Amino acid sequence: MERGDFLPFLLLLPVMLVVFFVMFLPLVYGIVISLFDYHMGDLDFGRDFVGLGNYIRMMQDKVFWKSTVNTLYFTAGAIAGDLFFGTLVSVWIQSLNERIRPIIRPIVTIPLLVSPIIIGLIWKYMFNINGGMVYWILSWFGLGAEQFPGLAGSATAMLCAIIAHWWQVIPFVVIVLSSGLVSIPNDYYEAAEMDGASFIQKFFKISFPSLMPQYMVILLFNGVDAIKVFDIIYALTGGGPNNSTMSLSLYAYKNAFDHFDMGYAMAISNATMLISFLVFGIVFVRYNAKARKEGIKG
Amino acid sequence: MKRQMKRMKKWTALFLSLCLIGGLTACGGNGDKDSEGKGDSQAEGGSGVELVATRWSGGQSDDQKVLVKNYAAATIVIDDIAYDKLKEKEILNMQKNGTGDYDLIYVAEVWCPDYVKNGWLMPLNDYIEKYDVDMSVYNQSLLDAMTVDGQVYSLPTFTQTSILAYDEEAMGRYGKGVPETFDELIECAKWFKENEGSGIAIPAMQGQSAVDFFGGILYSCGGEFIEDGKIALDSDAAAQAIEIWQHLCLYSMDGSSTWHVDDVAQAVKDGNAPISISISGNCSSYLDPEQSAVAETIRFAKMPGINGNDYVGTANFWGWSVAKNSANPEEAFQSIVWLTSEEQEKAAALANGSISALPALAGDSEVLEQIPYLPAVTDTLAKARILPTAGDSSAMLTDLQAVLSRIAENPRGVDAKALLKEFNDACQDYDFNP
Repeated sequence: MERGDFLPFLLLLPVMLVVFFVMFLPLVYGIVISLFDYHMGDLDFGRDFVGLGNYIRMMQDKVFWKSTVNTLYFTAGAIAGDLFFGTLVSVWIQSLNERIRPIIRPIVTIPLLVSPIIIGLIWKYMFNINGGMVYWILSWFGLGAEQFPGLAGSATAMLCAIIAHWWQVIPFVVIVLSSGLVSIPNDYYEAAEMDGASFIQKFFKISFPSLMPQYMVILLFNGVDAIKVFDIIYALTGGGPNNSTMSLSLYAYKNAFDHFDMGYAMAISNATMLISFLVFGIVFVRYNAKARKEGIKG
Repeated sequence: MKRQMKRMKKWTALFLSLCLIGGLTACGGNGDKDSEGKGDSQAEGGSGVELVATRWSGGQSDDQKVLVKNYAAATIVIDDIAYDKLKEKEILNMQKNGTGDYDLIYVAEVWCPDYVKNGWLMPLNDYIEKYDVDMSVYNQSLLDAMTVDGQVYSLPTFTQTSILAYDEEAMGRYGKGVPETFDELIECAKWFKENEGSGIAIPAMQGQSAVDFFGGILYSCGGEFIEDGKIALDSDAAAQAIEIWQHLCLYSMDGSSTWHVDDVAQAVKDGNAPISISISGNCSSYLDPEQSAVAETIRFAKMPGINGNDYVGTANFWGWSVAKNSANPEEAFQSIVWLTSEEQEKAAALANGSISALPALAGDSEVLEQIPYLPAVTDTLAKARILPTAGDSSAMLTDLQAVLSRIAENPRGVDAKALLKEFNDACQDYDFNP
């Protein structure tokens, strides 16, 4: 680059403007608003400035803490299931006959095309105690609402939301893991077979380590997505019973649009962002640093 | 070669600069164009004006889209939005500086104080005077709820409240009359729960419907949410109300704790619910044989009384308002007077069974034939009140949703009175002054 040559900057300028207006500015706006007692449509910069007041209030708010625990529970359950069942399905599809595989793979990915709010409604009917499919199946084993209260029980409602999430997200995991499985050279498996390795041994010694970059991508994408969960819970339970499924995003939404309390809602949203970074951002940064050190491309 | 490269860079830089300038100019230009457009439509006036009205979507909205075609003074476009997104969309539009997208705003009575406080709605008194509108046709108590500091902000239109809907055949099996007191209602629900495994269908999901229903029970017991600007749920009346709620939850249908009013309606239409607390807005669908398995046997009654007194329900009603940032406020006002006129309200009632807020239609024989549950609604509405809206009421009622939900989830295992007392203590810091 020569001195006074502005072309590189001009080429970068559109992207920088987009990043500034679409990402940076709303972020700063969100942080600034969280410092005000801002009720939608009524902001006076002098009168409404509360400094860290909204954050202090948040620390004392029992529903916020309950929502945080719920969100982390949902995220842990969602991710664990996504990875476990996604791996099972991917490996199963990979083991299928080459003629059947191209038929099964698109069928498995259908739930990806359905919007989360519709998925919530579908599963609401599935979990309907009066004739829902889940209770119809449970009745084969002599079980019913007393043994599994489903959406009606504090202890089980979040599990129902997690199951609905699995149904929606596992296809994405299957797509990503399948691409990883396809790229593993067959020679590795053949060599392992000659050494007498079992199916399980082949998976844990060859497939699993080779899929680490894909697992990291899934962990980051699905993890951040799960921490922000809103639609499925909104449609399934609305946060109940007794706030047992209240997620941070849903709680922020309720404060923003039920009480117009935008400042407090922004504070909750910023806290969600921070939690998301602490849980996944740091893990991802550390993994990338380690991968770079070991010469593995992440 | 180097020189050629340099020239190419210069041209590329010039081209990109022009693109950038052009893009920025176009962005700025759009705003001007918009405001010009609005200015033009304002200047046209009369039949050239297009008014955009927002309201919740569904059957009533579809019918209204047809009815507004008869309005000659302007074109009314109904932008219907899913109920749960309506408030958000209205607020975002009414906040717009200059002109918003909406001229006519559909306002729930509980939203009105906030909308007025934020200055989003147009006060209507000057227009009422100018066009000499006869305000005596409107229900005065509903009109009062939409009046702030002597200024009317909304003309009441659609109203709904909780009524009793029951399957006549099921009640025949029960063998006793339709419950007239809450004790009888609980006894009836218990009988169905214990003998047929069903129970009463109630909207006990954590949400506004549960609070609406509990509010009705509380008022009927003689209690109040707020007294002298302070929470008042530690009264004997409140204790009686929460006990009734607990008993109803105990003998409610399995799954009721996850039901909103629409889920209750579905249970009734599927023929699963022998008796229910239904919102009147859903009752017309109970009579439609294409939607309902009990269309022939469904019957309606007013809500039972408590302590020898009539039920004091919570009224939920809607009004048409004019957005403060409407480009055509005068035309918008004229259109809401037309929309809430007796003729239009009757047409809407006959089209879809919606219950008008105009008292005159309650005695209209044609309307009565079309809406068999109208007498039950009229009886229940006779003493109906609205939930508190002042100060931190909205936050308090949202917190109460969780308490009611906790009882609904496990009615046998909780001390409902203690929970309400605990809730009352936790709400001491709330400020309920307007």
